Amino acid sequence: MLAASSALAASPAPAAAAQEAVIPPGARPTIVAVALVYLAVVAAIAVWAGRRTRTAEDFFLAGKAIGLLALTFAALASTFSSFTFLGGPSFLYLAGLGAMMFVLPATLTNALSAWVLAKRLRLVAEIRPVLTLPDVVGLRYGSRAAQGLAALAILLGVVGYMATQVAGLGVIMDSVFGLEKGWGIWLGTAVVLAYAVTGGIKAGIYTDLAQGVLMAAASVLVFLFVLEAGSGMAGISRTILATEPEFLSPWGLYSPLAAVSLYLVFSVGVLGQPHVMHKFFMIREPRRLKWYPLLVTVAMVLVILIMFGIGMAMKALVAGEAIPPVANPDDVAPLFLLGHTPLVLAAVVFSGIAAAIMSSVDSFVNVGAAALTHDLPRAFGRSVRNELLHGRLATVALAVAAALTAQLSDALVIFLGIFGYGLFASALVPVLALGLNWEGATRAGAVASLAAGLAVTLGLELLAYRGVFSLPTGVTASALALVTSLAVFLGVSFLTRGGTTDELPEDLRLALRM
Amino acid sequence: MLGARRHGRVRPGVGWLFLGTAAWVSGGLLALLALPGVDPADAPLVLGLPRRAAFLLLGVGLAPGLVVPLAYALVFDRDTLPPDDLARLHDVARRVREEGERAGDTADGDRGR
Repeated sequence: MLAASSALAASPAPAAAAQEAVIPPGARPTIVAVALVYLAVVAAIAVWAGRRTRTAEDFFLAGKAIGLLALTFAALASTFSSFTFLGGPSFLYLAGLGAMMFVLPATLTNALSAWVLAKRLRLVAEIRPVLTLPDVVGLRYGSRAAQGLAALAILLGVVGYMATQVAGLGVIMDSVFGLEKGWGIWLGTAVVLAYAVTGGIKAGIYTDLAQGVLMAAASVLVFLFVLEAGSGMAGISRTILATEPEFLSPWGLYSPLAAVSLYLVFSVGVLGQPHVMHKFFMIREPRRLKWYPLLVTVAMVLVILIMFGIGMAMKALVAGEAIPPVANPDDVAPLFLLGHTPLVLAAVVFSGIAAAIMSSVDSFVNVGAAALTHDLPRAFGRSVRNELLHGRLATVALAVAAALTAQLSDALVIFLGIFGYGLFASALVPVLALGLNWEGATRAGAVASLAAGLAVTLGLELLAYRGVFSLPTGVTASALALVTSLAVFLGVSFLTRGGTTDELPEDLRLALRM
Repeated sequence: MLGARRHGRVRPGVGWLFLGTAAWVSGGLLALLALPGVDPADAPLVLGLPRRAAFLLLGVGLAPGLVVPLAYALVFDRDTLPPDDLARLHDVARRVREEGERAGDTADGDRGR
């Protein structure tokens, strides 16, 4: 999502009398003070979680003991990341209402993922000692190859995604806190490592809980200031309609086809996001999932208000000539916050942006470390003796790799970010979303689909990155790879008929059928 | 629809919910595609938004996003994960584990001889 926003952000911005977000010198102490309070809360959570992390199950699955609220806000924080606060308002300001197609599916896909994945994943974790999604893939298909390929897809995608997040952290540290980008990358990585290594995912989950509540509350408050700045939603709409009515058409400045494609890709693609699905294993008791979709949807709607509100208000303020045009679209949110909300609220949102990035990095590094130390050795018939220690070491190694990547090349970061999302979706959606619910799925179908997802995503993205080949406008490599891996999964499963469900132990079979 | 299957079938109410939601969302998007042009400056507003924008955000985006999760919660005890199902799964898992342990003991015994 950040990458898409960046692509739009590259379009020419109005140059004449444009304004940039500059943090007033007097504001910086407040912003830094709020950030320090946030860091103190994170540190306290890390210490608390670290004392309670004694096993690999604690480290990777929070001891399978989190409650409904913790799951809700952890899923919220992992799903939205910094995009909603920073990239989202810029994107809406540039693309109009069509930008909402990125976030609208999120409201529906919570229930979809609960029906399709949450129950099955949690039931398998109820009866078997699973730690990871590839564990479930391995059990479902009775295949170490499938488990290994799923782990490989997660590992490759995780490093890419983390690099984009860490690079974003560097930008935030630079523009908001006044640290140079390189220092920002390493300081942010160090903070994440401090709690990711000591408290594992348990620290991440409870940090997300605090951060998710903060995100939702700050978003609602900011929206109230949006209404005040624009003289209500009707005032905002009237101002925009008078100057640029296309902005408020359902597709905004997008073509209808591109907007609907976005909706479809994000509806289905969310079913393959390992850092969110992984959290379904962690809830204390499977029946607590009952209210999860409704709670997380309400929380997401509240958080989406900030993206919608700031993007709309800034467009109206510029259209009504109340403020000059925005020189750099990435400044849309900071400009509104600094100009139209109390400094403390702006500081909370700035800290929230950094916190959102760190929470995503923590989630990714945890699933990546599990893939590296748990799944890949198992795919080769081996197991790591002290998974907790090796999990911690892998966490450090992956975070450092992501930080190095982020520091070395901006172009590589954008490539890896796009590649990561596509890879997760094309590799995991067929084998998990379909495979856990369709008895006709076969081992050969799973292995072929995983291999196809990896090959098509890697091939297309690499060719596009090298400039050898590019897809027509509106067609994404992620969508093509997802369609291909789904087709391969269904096709090969039909050709190698005789689903593997009947070969499964009775308890696993029952978990997939009930 | 696949995800709502229990023991190979989907309860009619849940099936209709999925079909209705799919029809509502796709029908809504198609209707928006079919409606031409842009809204004039004095276009009537619904909750502060032009009608088509309000329909997209509130009708296609928000409404199913609240109705479907609410339905999920309401049918959960009966159609998604009844308490009896979970108890039965625990029983079967215990039996499979015990059989596995017995088979392991037998194999160990055989190796001992």
